[in-house]
Amino acid sequence: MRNLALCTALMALTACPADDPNTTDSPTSDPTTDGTASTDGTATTDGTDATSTTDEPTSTTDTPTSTTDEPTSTTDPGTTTESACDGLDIPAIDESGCEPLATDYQPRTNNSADDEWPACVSDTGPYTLVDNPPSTIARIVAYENIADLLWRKADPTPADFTAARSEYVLPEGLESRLVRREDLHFPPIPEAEWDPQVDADKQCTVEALATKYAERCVGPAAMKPLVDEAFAAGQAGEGDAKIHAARIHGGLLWFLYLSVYKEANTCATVAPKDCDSAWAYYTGGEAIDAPIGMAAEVDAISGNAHERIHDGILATRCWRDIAQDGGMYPLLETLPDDQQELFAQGWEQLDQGLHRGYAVIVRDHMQQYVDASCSSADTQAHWAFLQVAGPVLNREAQDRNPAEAGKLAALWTTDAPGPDEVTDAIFALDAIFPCP
Amino acid sequence: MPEGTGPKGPVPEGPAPPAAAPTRLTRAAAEQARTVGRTTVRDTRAQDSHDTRAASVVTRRDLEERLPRSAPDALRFEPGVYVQQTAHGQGSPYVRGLTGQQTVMMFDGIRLNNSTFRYGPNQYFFTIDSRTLQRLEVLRGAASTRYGSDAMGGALLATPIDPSLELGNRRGWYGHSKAMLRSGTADGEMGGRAQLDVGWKGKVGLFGGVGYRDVGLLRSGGKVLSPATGQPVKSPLFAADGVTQRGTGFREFTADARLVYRVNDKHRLTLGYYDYRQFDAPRTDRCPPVTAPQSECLWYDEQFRTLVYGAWDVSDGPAAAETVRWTLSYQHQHERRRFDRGAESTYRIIGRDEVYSLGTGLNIATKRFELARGVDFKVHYGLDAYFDTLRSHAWNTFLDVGITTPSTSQYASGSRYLTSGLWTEATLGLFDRVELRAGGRGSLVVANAPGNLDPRVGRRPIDQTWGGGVGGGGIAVRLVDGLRWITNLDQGFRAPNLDDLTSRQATGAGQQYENPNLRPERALSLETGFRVERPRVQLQLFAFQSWIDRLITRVRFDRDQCPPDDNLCGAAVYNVTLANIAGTSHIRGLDGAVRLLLPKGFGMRATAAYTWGDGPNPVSGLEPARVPLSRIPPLNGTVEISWRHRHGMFASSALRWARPQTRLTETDKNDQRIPQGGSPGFAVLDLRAGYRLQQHALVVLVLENVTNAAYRYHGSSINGPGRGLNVLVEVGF
Repeated sequence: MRNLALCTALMALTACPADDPNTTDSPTSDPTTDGTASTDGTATTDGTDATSTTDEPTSTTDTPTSTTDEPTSTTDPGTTTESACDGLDIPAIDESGCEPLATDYQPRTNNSADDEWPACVSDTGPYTLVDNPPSTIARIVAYENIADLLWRKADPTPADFTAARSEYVLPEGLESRLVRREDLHFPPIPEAEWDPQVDADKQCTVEALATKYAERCVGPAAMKPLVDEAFAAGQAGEGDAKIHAARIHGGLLWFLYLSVYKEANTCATVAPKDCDSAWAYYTGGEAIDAPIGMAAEVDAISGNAHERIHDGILATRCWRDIAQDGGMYPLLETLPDDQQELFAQGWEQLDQGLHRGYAVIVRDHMQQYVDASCSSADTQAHWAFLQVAGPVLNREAQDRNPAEAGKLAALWTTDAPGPDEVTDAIFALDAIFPCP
Repeated sequence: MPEGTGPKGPVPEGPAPPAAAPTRLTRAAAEQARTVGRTTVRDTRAQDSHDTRAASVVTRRDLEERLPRSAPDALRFEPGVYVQQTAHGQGSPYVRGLTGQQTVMMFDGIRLNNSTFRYGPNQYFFTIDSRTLQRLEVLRGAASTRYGSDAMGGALLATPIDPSLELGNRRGWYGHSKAMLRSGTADGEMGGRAQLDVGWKGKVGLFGGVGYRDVGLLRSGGKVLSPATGQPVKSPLFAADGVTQRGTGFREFTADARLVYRVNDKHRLTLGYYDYRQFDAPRTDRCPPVTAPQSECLWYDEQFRTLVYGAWDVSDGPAAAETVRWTLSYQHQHERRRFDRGAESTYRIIGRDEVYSLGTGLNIATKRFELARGVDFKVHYGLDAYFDTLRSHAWNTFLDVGITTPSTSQYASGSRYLTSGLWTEATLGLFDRVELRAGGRGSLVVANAPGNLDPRVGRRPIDQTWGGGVGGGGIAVRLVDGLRWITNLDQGFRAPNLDDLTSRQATGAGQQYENPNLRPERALSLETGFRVERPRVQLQLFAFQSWIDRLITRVRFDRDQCPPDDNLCGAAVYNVTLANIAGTSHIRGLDGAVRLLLPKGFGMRATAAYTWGDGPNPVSGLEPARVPLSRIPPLNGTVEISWRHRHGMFASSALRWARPQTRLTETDKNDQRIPQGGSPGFAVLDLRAGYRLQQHALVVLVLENVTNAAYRYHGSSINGPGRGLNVLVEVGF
C-alpha cells in the first residue's frame, strides 16, 4: 500500500515505471547504420574480414574491468522489509515558493518588459538562431536513439549496445565532443601551461593537460572511460545490461548538462553561434514545449525547472543580441564592463537553472530507487545511474551547503544504500538545490 | 610534334630512351655538348610533344639532379604549376588554377584518372614513382580534344623509361643494372631502388626495378604565422621542438617491369607493369584535426595502384595510319583509410575502396600529306574508353570488445562508370611558317550507381548518360627563325564522376555529400603568347583566359536537406555538396619560362605564373555577386642557375618563391589548412651539386631550404621541408 501510495503521489511528476510508455516501448532499431550492408551484404563480409586483419583486437582480455565496479551487493528486493520503508515520505517537488531574482531575464513574464534586461530578440519567446541550425541537434538525436536502444528498453541486448555505440562514435558525434568536454565550473588550466598550438577552449585535447587537470578536463578524464567501459561491457554481454545502460545514461546526461553551460560561455568568448549549440544541447533544437534530450527529462519532472533553464538559455541569447555591433558579435573580452556583467548575470541564471534541472533528474532517480527498494523491484540500474550522475553535483553542493552536501557525497560512495538513506539524501538535495 | 625530339615510340606520350644509359651522341648533340657542357643527355633540349601549346617538360636529368620527393614534387619548377600537399605522402599539382579531377593524368598514354578522383587536390599523381620516369610533360590549358574528360586545367603526361633496345650489340644479350640509394635529413627518408635494363639483339628489352623508402616525420623551418592574427597556423600539429610536423611520414614500395619486343622495324609490342604501394600515410590536417584529441588521426593505411597494360606500336604504316598506337590497360586502385586515436583508441573507423579500370586507347596519325608546294596536312585521330567498377566498404571496429559493425561506405558500392570518346585533330602547315590546328571529340560518359533508400543512408540511384562534343584549334606563326606567335582556343570538359555523384567523405570544407544531379562542367581556354627557340635561349610566355561554365564547386547545404535519419550528416559542423554554379567562372593569368644556355657550361632558367580566378557566388543572391575561386595559387615562380662540366660535375642553385595569397573564398576561410588572412609569401633557396660518371655512377647532393625558411604552398596542410640535405647515390654496372 505504501508503495502504491508513493507511486500515486509521484505519478504526476515522474510516472511509475510500469506506466511509463517509454519504459515499455522497445524500439527495435536495426543495429546497423549501414544500408549498404543491408542491401548487398558485402559490407558485413568486409567487416568480418577486417576483424581478421589488423583491426582485430589483439586480446580479448581487453574487456574493460570496470564492469566489476557495478554494484554487486545492492539491496536484495526480497529482503527489503516492510519496516525499512515505514515512515518514508518523500514530498512531491514543490517549487511554488521559488521566485526569479530581480536580475533574471524573464521572457515568459510580459515578454521581459518587467525585468531589468534591455529589449532583445529573445523577448518574444522562441529561441532565435544566431546562425544555421547547429550540428548539436544531430548529437541530441543520437542521444535519443541511444536512449531508445538502451535505457528506455527493458532488456537491451549486446547488439543494441553495438548499435548504440555506433551512434555514439559517429564522426562529429557525441563522442567527438565528449572527449574534449571541459567543466567550466572548475578553475581553468593555467595559461602558462597551455599548448600554444591549441585553441584556448580546446586545451583538454592535450593528453597531459587532461590528465593533470582531470576535474576541468572531465570529458577525457572521467566521462570517456566511464562511457567506453559501460558500452564495452554491454557489447560483451557481461553482467546486467541495464546497469551498463544506466551508466551510459548517467555519463551522457552529465555531458549534456555541462555542454549547455560550456556552449553558453563560448558563445560569448569564442563563437557566437555556440549560443545555438547551448540551446540545442538542451532542447535538441526543438521548441520549449516539445523538447528532446535532457530538456525532455527535466520537463517530465519539473516543468518549472525546464522553463527556467530555457529562460537562462534565452538570457545568454538575449545578451548576445544586445552585445552586437551592426550584425557583428564582438567577443566578451572586448566589451565594456556593463556588458560583461550582463553576460555573467545571464550565464549565472542559466547555471542556477541547470543545477536545479539536473538535480531534479537525480532526485527522480533517487525516488525510483526508493520505490524499487520498497516494491521488491530491481534497484541496481537506478543505483548505477545515481553513482554516475549523483557525484556530479558534489562541487556545487559543497559550495552551497557543506553539511547537506556531505550527506549526498557519503551516499554516492555507498554500494547499496537503504531506502531510508536515499530518502534522507533527497531531503538534502532539496535543501541544497531548492529552486531553479 | 617535332620529329626526332619526341619519344621513340610513335605517339607523343610514348617512351623515350633512358638518359642515364650508355650514350652515343649525335654529331649535333656532341657539338652542343661541347659548347654548353652537356655530356650525358642526348635530348639536349627538353622538347615538349605539344610544341604549339603552352607546355613544358621535366627530363630524366632534371629528376636526377633536383631530387624531387615525388612525381608532383618534380613539377615545382614548371611554369603555371603549383603543387599543393594535404599530406607529406600526397601531392596535387595545380595547373593554371585547377587540380585533381579538373586536370588529366596520363601515364605512357594510359589515362590514370578514374571515377573516384575527388574534387580539389588528390593524392593520385603521387602514386607515380618518379624514379621510373623518363620525362614529365605539363600541357597547360584545356585539352579535352586529345585527352577527354577532366582535361580542363591541363594534362600531366608521364612517360616511363624504356628499355635500351638500340644501345646494345646486335648479336646477343646485353644489360645494365643500377642500384640507387637516397636519403634526406628533413624527413629522415631512407630508400633505394634496384634497377635492371637488359636486352637481346635489339629486339627484346626489359626494364624494371623495385624500390622502397621509409619516410619519417617532416621537419620544417618553423611555424607559419597567420597574417590576420600573427599566431601560428593551427594545422599541422608540431612536436615539442616546434619544427617537426606530426601527421607526416609514410612508407612506400614500388615495382615495375617493362618488356618491349620489337617485332620488326614497323611493329613493336610493349607490356608494362607498374605497382605503387604506399603504407601508413597520415592525412596531416586530420592528424589530429585542430579541435580533436591529439592522438586522433586519419591514416591512409594503404594507397595502392597497379597498372598493367599492353601497347602495340606501328610505324611506317599506310598513309592513313602511318603510326598507330593501341593500348589495352587494367588498373586497380586500392585505398584503405583508418581513423582512430592511437594506442588508446577504443574504436576504429575503416574505409576501403577498390576501383577496377579497364581501358583501351587507339591513337593514329596519318602521314604528312603534301597538298601543294609548301602546304602539308596531317591528321591524328583515335578513340579511347575506360570502364570502372567500384567496390566500397566501411566499418567500425570496437577494439575493446573485438566487435565489427558495418557503416555507410564512402561510395555506392557496385557503381560503374564509363568515359569514352572519338577524336580527331588535324594540322595544316603553310610554307613552313604557319601551322594551323583544329580538332574535336565526341564523348560518351555513363554513370551508374545503385541507390540505398534506407533513411539512415538515403543514397539515390544514379543512371546518367552524358554525350557531347568539344573542339579546339590554334595557330602558330613563325615570325622569324626561332620565334613563333601562338594562339590556341581549346575546350575542356569534365563529366561528373562517381566521387561527385555518390561520395560521402570528410573534406577540409566539411562533410561532403553526393549530388546525383550534377551536370558536366565545360571550359573554354584561350591562350596567346610567344615561344622563342634559339640556340642559347628558350622562352615561352603566354597569357590565358578560361571561361568555365557550370563550374562544379563545393557549396554548403542546410541540415534540413540531410537524409532524414542520417546523424552523420546532421552532426557535421559544415555539410557541403558539389554543385554546378550557374554562370561563368573565369581563370586568367600569365605564365612563362625562360632558359638561357650560357657559355662555359652555365645556364639559367626562370619561371613565373600569375593566376586569378573568380566565379559567381555559390549562394545566389548573396553579396558579393562574384567571389574568388578556391585555392587559386598566388603569383609564384622559380629561378635556377646551373653549371655543368663536360667531365660530369654539375652544380646549381634554385630559388622558389611565391607572393602571399589573400584572395580566399568562403570555403578557404573555413579551411584549417589555410592561414587566417591567407597564405604568406615565401622564398626558398636550394643548392645542388653532383657528379656523373656516365652510366657508372651518379652522386647528387641537394641542400634544400638553405635559409631554413618556414613556408607553405597555398592550400597545403604541411609546411615545406626545413633546411636539410638530400643525397642520391647511384651505381651502375
